[in-house]
Amino acid sequence: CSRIHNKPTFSQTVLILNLYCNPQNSAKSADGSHSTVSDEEMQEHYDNFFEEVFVECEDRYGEIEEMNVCDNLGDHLVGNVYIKFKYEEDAEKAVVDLNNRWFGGRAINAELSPVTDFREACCR
Amino acid sequence: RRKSRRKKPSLYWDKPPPGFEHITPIQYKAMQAAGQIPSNVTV
Repeated sequence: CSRIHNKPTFSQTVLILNLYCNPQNSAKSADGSHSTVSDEEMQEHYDNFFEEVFVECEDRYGEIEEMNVCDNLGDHLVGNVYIKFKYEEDAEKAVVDLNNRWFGGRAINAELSPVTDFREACCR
Repeated sequence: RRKSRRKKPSLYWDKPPPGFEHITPIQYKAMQAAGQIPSNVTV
């Protein structure tokens, strides 16, 4: 994002950048025409993705209060995953560890996010 | 209520890009930052 965001030193919320790849989006950008991925396939793909991320992060780093996946087409938001942990220590641990892990053939970019209430979250 | 719900090996976790299995994600990102490999990540 081109706007300036304050990155907090402590936060319960972890932002993982561009983690989710919507198969419909990739299909569109690949040939410029309509998507060949059905809505059902997309939903299944998304559900699997969500479960994998949620289960792995909760098992490994600690209890999760809330998890959100951005699925819009804004370049700076697409595929971003926000995970709000119950404890700040868990979030901090998660950022450090996630930044040295692979995910689906890509390196993970994780950072702490100031967002704690997702209804209020928008780029100002 | 905490129990492991993992029931199958992951499709995504710890899967490096083909050809980059020998380096760490941190090294990979440093190479992206240095322009040595293409970066398709937009921030």
